[in-house]
Amino acid sequence: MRIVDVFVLSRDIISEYKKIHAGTLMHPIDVLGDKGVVSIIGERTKLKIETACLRWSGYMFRAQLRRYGDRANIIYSHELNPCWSRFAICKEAFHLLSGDTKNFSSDPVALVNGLLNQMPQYKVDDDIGEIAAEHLAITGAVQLLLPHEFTPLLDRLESSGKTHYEIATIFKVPEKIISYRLTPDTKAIFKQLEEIKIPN
Amino acid sequence: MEEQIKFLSWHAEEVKRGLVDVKFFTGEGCFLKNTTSEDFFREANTVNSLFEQGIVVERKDVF
Repeated sequence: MRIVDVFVLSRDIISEYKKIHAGTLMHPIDVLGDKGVVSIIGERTKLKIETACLRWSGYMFRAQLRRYGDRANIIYSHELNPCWSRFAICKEAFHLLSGDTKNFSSDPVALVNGLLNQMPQYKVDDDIGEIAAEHLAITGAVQLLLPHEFTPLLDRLESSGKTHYEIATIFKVPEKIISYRLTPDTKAIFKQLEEIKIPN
Repeated sequence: MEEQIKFLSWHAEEVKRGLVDVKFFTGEGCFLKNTTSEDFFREANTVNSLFEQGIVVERKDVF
């Protein structure tokens, strides 16, 4: 999957989101609830998606996705603040939207060793789909929570002197995600994506 | 290996129930942490246990 494919997927979800919200796109984007992006992803993938916050340290991992044939569970740690919780849920939900079977993790030992060592236990002729899937899901989550329609407002807030933390509280996303979204490289990517004409 | 074995046992049972994919969000990553896979699986087993018991935290601040 390419970055532009992530953009197309997230744009479709945001388009549906706007329809549900009477044609408007207000910040912050709703993640949960009947009108949230997770609900839309559930309808799009025909998966019943349930989220659950559990009380664990979150030291090794902060969230988990379990995908079954007709449903999925997104589990996140109570240690995550609301902004990180929203981001983690979106990121896992985006896996459901974007994941095809070749990116499914069927070997937990290889998966965990890969996470710990940053070097997946691949065979020489495997492609690197799994690592790419993680990056794509993060990119997708950013595009769901901070779609290109928010770019003018983000730019205005930044120009007005608001800190990334202050901007993050407005959009209810992690400060780090605002910082990423406002880097020159990310702005350039979003600008490129906006200029691509994608047939509906 | 005890925690790994326990997790793999859980995983095998879940596969029979239709599990096709499991993913973890490590946030800033585990690479710099001085930990082992046993530590990871211990935490994963804790999560499994909590989930099976239905001990969820109500979060009205997450929307």
